[in-house]
Amino acid sequence: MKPMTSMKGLLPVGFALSLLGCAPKPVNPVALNRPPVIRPDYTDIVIPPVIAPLNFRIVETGRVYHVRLEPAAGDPLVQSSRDGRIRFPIKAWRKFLNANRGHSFTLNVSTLRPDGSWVAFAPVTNRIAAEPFDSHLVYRLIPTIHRYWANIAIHDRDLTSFSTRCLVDNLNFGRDSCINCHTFLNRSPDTLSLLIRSPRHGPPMIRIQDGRMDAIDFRTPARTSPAAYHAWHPGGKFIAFSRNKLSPFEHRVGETADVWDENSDVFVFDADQNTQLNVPALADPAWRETWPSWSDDGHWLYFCRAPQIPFAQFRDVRYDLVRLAFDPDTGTWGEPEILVSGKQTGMSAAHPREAPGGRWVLFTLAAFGNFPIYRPEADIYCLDLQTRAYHRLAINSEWCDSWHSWSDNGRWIAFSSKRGNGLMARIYFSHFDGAGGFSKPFVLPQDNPDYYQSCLYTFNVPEFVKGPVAANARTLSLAIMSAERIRPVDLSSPAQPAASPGGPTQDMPWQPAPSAR
Amino acid sequence: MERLKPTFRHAGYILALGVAYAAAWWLIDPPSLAHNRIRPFLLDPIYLCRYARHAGGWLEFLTSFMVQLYRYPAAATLMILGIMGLHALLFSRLLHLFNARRPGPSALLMTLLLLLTWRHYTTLVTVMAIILALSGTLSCLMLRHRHPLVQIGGFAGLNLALSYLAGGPATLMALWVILHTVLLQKRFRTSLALLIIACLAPPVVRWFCYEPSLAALCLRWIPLDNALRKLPVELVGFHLLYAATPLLAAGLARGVSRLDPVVARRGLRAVTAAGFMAVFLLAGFLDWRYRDTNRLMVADRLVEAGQWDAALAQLSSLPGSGDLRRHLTLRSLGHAGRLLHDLFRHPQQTGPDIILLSNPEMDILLRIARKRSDAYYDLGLVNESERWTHEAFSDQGEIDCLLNRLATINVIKGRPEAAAIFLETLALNPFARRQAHTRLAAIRADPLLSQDPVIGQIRAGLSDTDYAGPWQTDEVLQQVLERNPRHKLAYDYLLAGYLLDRRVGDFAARIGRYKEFYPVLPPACEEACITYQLRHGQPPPGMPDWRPDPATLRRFNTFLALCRKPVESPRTLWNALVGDFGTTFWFYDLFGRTGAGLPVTDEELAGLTTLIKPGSAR
Repeated sequence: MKPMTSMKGLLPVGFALSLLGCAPKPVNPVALNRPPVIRPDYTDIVIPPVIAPLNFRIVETGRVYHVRLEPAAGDPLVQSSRDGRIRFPIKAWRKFLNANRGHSFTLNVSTLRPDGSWVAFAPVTNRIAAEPFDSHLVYRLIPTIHRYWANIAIHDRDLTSFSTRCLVDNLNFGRDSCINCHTFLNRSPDTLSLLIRSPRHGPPMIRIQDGRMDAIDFRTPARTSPAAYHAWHPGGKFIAFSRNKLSPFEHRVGETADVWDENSDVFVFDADQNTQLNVPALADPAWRETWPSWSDDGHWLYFCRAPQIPFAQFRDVRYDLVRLAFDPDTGTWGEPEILVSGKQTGMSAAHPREAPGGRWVLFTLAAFGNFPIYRPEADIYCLDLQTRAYHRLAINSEWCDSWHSWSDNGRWIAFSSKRGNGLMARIYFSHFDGAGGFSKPFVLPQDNPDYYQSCLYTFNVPEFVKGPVAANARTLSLAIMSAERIRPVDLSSPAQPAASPGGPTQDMPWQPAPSAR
Repeated sequence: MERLKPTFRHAGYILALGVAYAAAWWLIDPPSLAHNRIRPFLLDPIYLCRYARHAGGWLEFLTSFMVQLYRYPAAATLMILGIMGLHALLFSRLLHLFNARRPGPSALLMTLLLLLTWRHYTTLVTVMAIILALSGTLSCLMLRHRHPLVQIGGFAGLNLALSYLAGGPATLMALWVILHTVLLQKRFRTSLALLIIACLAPPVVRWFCYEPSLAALCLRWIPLDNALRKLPVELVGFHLLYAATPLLAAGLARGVSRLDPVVARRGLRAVTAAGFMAVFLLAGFLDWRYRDTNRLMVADRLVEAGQWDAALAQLSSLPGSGDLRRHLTLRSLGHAGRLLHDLFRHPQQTGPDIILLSNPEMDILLRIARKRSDAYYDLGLVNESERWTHEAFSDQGEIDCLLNRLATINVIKGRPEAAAIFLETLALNPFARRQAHTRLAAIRADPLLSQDPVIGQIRAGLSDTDYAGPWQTDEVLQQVLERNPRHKLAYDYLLAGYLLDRRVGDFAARIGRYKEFYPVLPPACEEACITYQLRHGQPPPGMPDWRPDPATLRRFNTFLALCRKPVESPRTLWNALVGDFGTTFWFYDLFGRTGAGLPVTDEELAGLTTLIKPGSAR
């Protein structure tokens, strides 16, 4: 009879608490010597001092979940839940981060078990870095596509909150259109370029610069391939871009999708002169050059190149990481300098990105080919330009890690990783210690802690930006659909024929989904 | 008797409802509707946001939810009946406001017409858009006795809201309200203001929810957009008639009011009766016109449900020999184990590959990506199936069968976490939640589902050689057989493909293995072996002891004798052979098609005149 009485006494209290949205606090918890399982994994990480709340779900059995973020000094942040979903109030979270900038805090989780007893998990220590990252992140959200595209969108996420703005999706200008890569000038939200492929509107590069928006068509009678991967010179005058002849193909074993680059060259667009030129070292007929990327000071152009070989030997394609000296004042170029040799590493390089400061270069190495996002073994590597030594980052996963970008202060990276599921990429952040070390990555936080559990979309091409992008769906769509095109004068030498016929090339390698046509 | 009257009345209502239910079932065929019109739906704010970014997205989201009821045919029929009832009520009210003399029967006629379009022309989005337009119009017209400013304000609010929530209904509503204001209220200034608002609302909505075409936004209730050029003319006619009906009703009412009341009443009755007759005739015509399409869709549904024999029964009743029909036949025969027995009993003709549907020109076929995914999955080619399921996903979105297939494929490929994401997504559909949770629980208990016999079988047969790049269908099938020599379906497909391509030499090179799968040489193979022996003077390789069945040989000799008889034209030869040999490989080899299917045309035979010289066979 006694327990019954006590239960009766508890009922009104529980009812009142549930009405108030409160949860009971831990009472004499039994300490466990293991940390709690939380999803996403926000344990043992370094976080920036300004970021949206890291909401998570506690994947432990319990009726009530209690979380206490305990700083070394100052007020703790406490949050409870009855379903395991922990969502921190944004104001309290910001206050907590601000008060503890540069310091560590512990994450203490307690749960009320179904038998009425409390357990406390071993505390987890996280650190709040002193250095922030940029306030916005622009990324592409795309289904796991093979050759048919649909529902492709570019989003602008405010990293200080959960506010996400769809910059443009292909419904805005034609569902049969594809949105490709986007890049920014020095992470400025006012200067960017975005590539479109559309059966109706062609393959323009949309450029926003100096408050103007225009569409550039790089195709010429001699070179019918449009621009693909591109990068702004830090001075804002040049855009280096590659022309690739890409063809998707499928594997019978392992990862299904892959891409064959039959021929590619790198060109440079001079915005002032409205010309496009190719430098012999960037368009050598004996090589395929791709993935252009400028150094922080604009005196080097990084790119990747591989010798021309036929499709039958696609597993032997190894791209070198190369750079070329450039004098922006005189427009003169140096000789190619191989930084990482594909022959020596036995792997293929892609995505070179130099850190602000000019000492470190991140790049991707995969077993072969030029499309690391389809290679599960693709990992991010770090090259120290002072010592010329490079190493695989310890933060890589068993699945593909790629598409990295640096924050403006060079202390954070954002990258796409398929860790956790092997198929759909998510954006992760990692803190850089300035000496070649990176902290354990954590996933882009979402308001709903279960967001990624049912998200079938891939997040890729994450780019840090210093503010909200100065464009919207309407202005971008109008530029895409406008008939006006800037056609830069082609000053380059005549086009070279493709050196390796026989690949699975098609005129339109990727196509809109039938319902979109 | 007086006491029994209510009982009779109730019985009459029930009978009328029963008839309406049966008629609706017959007109829309709910199981086929569920198969053909299923749409993705997730009860999730993020998913809703995707819709809410575009004009008309909310209506699409709502109807995507309603479409889920198609899973339950009885509920779907009731829902459609309910919507039709609501439509009749609203349309009748609208006609009443336009002074129509007999709004009830006219509204019922229009409702029946709408119901007729449901199966082949319109979608639930269209019908719900019309319902919204009717509701909006009636709401606006409720304000017709109020101050013009109130009327204009109410119209502006509703028009903007409808433009955003549903797109096109705002146009339809504006048309009806302005017509009423001009013709019946005779408020010309107000109507001008309404016209200006109606013209401004879509661009305002488009400013915020940008899309390429303003016309597409304004006409969104008609399923046109990029299919504008493919829009059937009868559907255009229907929508024009539908939009103009209140105007016609008003005009007719004015004309009728000048007639003698008795004459007018009789005339209206006659017109109504003629209208109902026309609708019934139209229903019969549409049923006749689409009977083959309907049967093909039923067969398609049965094939997806794995009911091979029932599918074959449906397919047998179809006269045509389109690529889709032949593919479904081949797949059903393959699964029923009768491919090499009955291959030429069904309509077949030479043409592109219909086994794996590899020809890019077939991209226009209904849900081709899903069919390719199924074909590869049958063969245990998981990567190819994964590719085509993703392509289907790009095309159709988060529908059950695709999410389930992707979950299974990811389990097979050792990515249970990715499989769980597909199932968690499936669980966001309240109508599939239970199924998703059952599968999720199984994956959580055993991430690789190692106890599942089907998955185990596919996993055991996964290729360890990476055949990258494009391959011909026969090469793909040979690769499957290299890895799984006991894969009967692959073997059957390989031989059937050779026979359909009339590659007797390649067929003969593979037929030697038939004993691993069949106790007796299947008829189509026997016939092809005889053909090979005739051409090469020896049995196929690997079958040195093979002797043709005497009865089959006698038939072949008769066939040859008929072929060698002097004939006036290929048609004479066709007529002479089709009765006894139309289902044989020899006939197919000679004419490039089977005797089954549509009657041979002169065009088809004209192509054979160079092949068949009168009096001699090949």
